[in-house]
Amino acid sequence: MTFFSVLRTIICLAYVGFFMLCGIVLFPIEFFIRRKDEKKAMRFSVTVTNWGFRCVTALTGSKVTVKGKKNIPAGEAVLFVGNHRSYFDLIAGYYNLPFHTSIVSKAGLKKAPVIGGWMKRFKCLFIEQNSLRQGMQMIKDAQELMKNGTNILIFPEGTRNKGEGVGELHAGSLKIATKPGFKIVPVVFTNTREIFEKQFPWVKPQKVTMEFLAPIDTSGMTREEIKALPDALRKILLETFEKNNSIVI
Amino acid sequence: MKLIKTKAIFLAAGLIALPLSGCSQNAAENSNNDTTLTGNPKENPAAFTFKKDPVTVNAFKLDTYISISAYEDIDESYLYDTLALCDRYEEMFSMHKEGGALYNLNEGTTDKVPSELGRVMETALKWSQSSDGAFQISVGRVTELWDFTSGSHVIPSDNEIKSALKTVDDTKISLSPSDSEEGAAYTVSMPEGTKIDLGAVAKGYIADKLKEDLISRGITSAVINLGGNVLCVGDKNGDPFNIGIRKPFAGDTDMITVLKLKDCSAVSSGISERYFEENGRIYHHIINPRTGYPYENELWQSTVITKDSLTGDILSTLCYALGTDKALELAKNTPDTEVILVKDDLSLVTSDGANDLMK
Repeated sequence: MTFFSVLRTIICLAYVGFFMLCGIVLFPIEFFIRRKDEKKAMRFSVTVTNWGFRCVTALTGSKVTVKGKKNIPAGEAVLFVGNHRSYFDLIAGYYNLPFHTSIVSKAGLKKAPVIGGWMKRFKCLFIEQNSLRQGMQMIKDAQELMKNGTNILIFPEGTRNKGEGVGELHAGSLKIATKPGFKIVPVVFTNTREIFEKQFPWVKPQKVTMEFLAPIDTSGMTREEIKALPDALRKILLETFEKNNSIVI
Repeated sequence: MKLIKTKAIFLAAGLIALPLSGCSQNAAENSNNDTTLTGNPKENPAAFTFKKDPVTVNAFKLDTYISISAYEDIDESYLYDTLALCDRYEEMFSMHKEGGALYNLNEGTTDKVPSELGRVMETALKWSQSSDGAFQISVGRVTELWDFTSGSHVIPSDNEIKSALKTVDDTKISLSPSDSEEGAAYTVSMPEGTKIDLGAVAKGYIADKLKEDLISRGITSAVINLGGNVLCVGDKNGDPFNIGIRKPFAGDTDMITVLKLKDCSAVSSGISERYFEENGRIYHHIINPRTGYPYENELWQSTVITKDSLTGDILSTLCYALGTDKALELAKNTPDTEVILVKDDLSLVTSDGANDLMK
């Protein structure tokens, strides 16, 4: 590894440490805002998280190109369905999502210091990956949030895909949208894994592309259509992933 | 102060360790206890094979960013050996590398060239002959005046171009195999003052040689990207490689179309890569050897798909030079050659077979 990637990694780590330390001041501030206005407190948590994510992405030297933002329908809650290859799907992606978007993430992240705390505060949902009952509860919670106008971001592959392409999508996670008939907006991340996991533990600057695709209306879908949805969606994600992942001449 | 520092390090270490443990745990969970959310267990787990990341090496060589990605289980250092070949060829083919084979020939210090350089010149001269002067390698004096390599962006004066043009004539260059001790070297005869520029040829040949080297060392699935030249070695686990064609004058990840290619070469030549604007006109690096000025036509970019990259490199420049109609005709008459042209209104014109390569 070159000197610069080591330096970059150290700077990023130092920043993460700094961000966590800031929690000592920021959590109490959030607490006082929450006593007055819950919505404002949530906005505050999201702002802090966005600030943290945005800075980490910038410090890795990566540039995020956001495409297809006009595909996000205005004035209604949508389910963002993304492909998942890296922590940077969240880090480089979340601050480009509209307010307010909740994240469905694995339960492990709930226990992550500071960042887990912020995520709880802006109503992220955590899922025990081996508990069916808890999974059903999560779907109900998510639907409740969406009815109140909150977007949800979920990575239906269930875990980070360790390689190229898009893995199989869990049908259950799409139930959040299909049952009440919300719209699904596929979002494709390219080159995120190449920032960190690919040459773990060093970070490397990359050109990340985040592309929103045309929304899929799930209201009025037949049983068969819903059954075919995971595969169809996977194909849509994969197609754009392959396109954005191609070598450009 | 010290306490805070220790705490920070501890926290940072904690954050690093946490995802790590989560990750391995996850993988284990995933294999044993899949699709808990769906309720119905996955029927055919083998149907979705996760493709592995390619092994990639990058470098700044040949005046551009180049990379080799191999879809094999090898170490990066294995590819660095291949990458290192570029240096040797760059010295041989560059007009500007002092002491290199082409430099010496252009300076007139020798008329002997190594066999590899000779063979490349022979191929280029063959195309130059059939192009009727639209593509010439003896254009060195003129390209030197424009000097797009250094990016000085100065328009040479008419007189300078006129005097430089006098040295441009490929028909006066001849190559003959010479029987020197080094083996099959060539003797070049060309008019005094003529300079040969292999800028539109060399990268293709180098790409071919890198491919040869990869194959000789057992790599069957890789992509060589020499910035504008892409050469595919085999395919990607049975799938074709995705090669995007850049949208001219747009961001560097913006594509106008995507090609699916297996075991062949794609080379793009366009005006949007090296150009400057002055007096409302675009001056780009594809020089018309008959006038000494950049070509002016309805095209912004031409991409040629061929088996070998040397031909592809020559043809991409030539197709740009010929313009839409003649380029399509050329593609039709040359076996295993497809062309994709981007016009100045961003519309695409393609040869018959090229449509099958786009999905």
